[in-house]
Amino acid sequence: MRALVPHTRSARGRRRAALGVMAASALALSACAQGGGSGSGGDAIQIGAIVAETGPIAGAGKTFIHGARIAQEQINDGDLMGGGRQLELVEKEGSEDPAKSASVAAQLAADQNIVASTCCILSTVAGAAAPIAEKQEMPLVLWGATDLDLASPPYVYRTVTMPQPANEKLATDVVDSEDIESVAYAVMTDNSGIVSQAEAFEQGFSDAGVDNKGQVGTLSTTTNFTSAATDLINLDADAIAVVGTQSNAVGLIAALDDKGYDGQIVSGQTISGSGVFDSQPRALEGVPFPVYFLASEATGMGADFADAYEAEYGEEPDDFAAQGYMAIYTLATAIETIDGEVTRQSLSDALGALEGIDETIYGTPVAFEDGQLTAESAVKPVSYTAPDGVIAPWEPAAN
Amino acid sequence: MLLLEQIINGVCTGAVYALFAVGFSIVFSTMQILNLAQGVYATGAALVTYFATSSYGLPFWAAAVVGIVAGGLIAVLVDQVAFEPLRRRGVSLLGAVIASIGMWIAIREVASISTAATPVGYPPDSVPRGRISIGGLELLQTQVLALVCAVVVITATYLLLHRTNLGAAIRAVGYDKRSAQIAGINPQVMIIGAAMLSGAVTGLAGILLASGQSFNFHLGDTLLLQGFAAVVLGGMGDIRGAALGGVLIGVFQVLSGSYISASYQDAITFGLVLVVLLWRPTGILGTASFQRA
Repeated sequence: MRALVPHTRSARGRRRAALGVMAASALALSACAQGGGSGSGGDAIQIGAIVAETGPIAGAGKTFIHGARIAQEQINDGDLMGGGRQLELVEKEGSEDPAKSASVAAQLAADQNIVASTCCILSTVAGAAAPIAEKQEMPLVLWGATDLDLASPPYVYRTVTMPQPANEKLATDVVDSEDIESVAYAVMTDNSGIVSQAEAFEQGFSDAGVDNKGQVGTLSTTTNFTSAATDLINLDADAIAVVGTQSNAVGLIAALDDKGYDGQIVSGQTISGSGVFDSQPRALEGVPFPVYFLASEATGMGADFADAYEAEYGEEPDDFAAQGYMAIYTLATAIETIDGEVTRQSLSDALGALEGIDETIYGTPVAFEDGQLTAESAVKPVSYTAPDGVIAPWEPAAN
Repeated sequence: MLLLEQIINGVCTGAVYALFAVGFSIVFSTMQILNLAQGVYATGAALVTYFATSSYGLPFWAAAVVGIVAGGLIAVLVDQVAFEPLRRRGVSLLGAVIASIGMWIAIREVASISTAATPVGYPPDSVPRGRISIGGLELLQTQVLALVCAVVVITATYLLLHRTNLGAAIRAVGYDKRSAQIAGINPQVMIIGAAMLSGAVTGLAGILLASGQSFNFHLGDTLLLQGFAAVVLGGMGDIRGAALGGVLIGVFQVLSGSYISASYQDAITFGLVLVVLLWRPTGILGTASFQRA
């Protein structure tokens, strides 16, 4: 049986002393965190990353964060930010779910050691995370959401290379290479980002003098594309531009192939990605789509990125990986211009003052205007090649 | 001609919905469970078929049989893990719905991991993907396959449940478990049998839906809403009603998308379901209330 012993004066004193030390430590830690800055005293500069390694688009989500991790390694190894400053990614899973990602964005914003965050493949998720960043006055760099007008300085920036100008350029390139007089559009109509991508295709074809034969709509919930393919073929166009999310666009291209459509199909960047070609090789072979980064054609910094990525993950980086890389690289480029302590405010100011980056993985300088990165000169028409699904520069059938 | 072609497209799409709805209906009529995990049976069967063809080189037909069996086994697993403990405790319909949501999320995550969340598709030339010309109409072999499978399987399921002693026993458990037990029927065996049958039929729907396109671990989710609407439209707990509801939903969807607007096709389709339910609250062929099959 344990005896009941009254507390002695010395025991009480030791407890009080311990509590005092703990309180002082907490106060000191709190004081250190108050500034919301890092990097000046040897600590790594912390960047929050809301990742999507699970959830509906985890396939693409993994690629984004893989690219970001390679960027972090190369920036740290090459002392890109100067003065031995190191970058640390604080990753939290958001599953590309708006509610979950907003919650994670709030957690990252509450941590005063984190000076900026990066995230978001879907525009709906970006729309949920952006207001939190603005309210907390913490820079947020969007690496993938492509709805128009999402960049909103001084706190919300976007480094994703936008698909709209790429689609417009692809339309022009295809008309220059193939004998196309008319075009029909297949558009997933319940996604505003996709609709704006389709409008870019329309603009490109229209500017090239191609006759618009009409549009057939699909939805994100469409389960069978045979009906839409039937309507599209009935429009009797020389070309069909298929614009949708990955599964939607690939499903419709497969249905057009099954129905025997023999015209030119073009599509957007969404049909790229790990595993996509293997799911519908016959239908996807030779379908042109635009990319900004093509590993096999990369030189200099792009080639270094491609080599490091392949060594780490066993496959070539695609456009999504490049976008993950560019989000971190742009932040590091802004940090390099900061002389003193890196805080949320100084980083926001530095991002706002950034006008462009001369050397990038795209092989061309990129502009950074109104919080949006642009690299239109880097757009390349590419397609899958059989039998392995390697993405290579698109070869028009006329050649 | 285009109208006729689109009606046929709708019937073929509806045939897959019908199969899914029949699987859904079997569970509801025998166990009184609104099973929101039903979609993962379709996903699981399609993925097992995919792995059997791509990783083990099985011909599509053999792989489909393996997939159908897998769909049935997943359904039995869900029933025994999630629903059986609730049945023993006499938990209400709501408890089973919540349990089914848990199983839905858990199994979908397994499916996501197994495919690395990337799209997959049956290997080229493993599935019949050609076209068949009938009187100037061009049908896809996958459409004909879906239609034939739906007619054969739904008819066989109906005959099994309504013309055999086994079917009578399963239905008896659905009507009154205790009375069936007194009559010498083992309710546990019948419930497992019904779950297996339901999972197999739903699995076939998933395999057929996946046969003409690339798919991912969300495959069954897209079928869930259409299948549930088909069951409600045709009549809860009635195999024929579920099949009819599935075909009608398919035709409504295709025609409204083709002739009115794709943007509103779901609104139009489910609006029509609402109108039918206002006219016949038990569904077109249903005679029972929602609470009782």
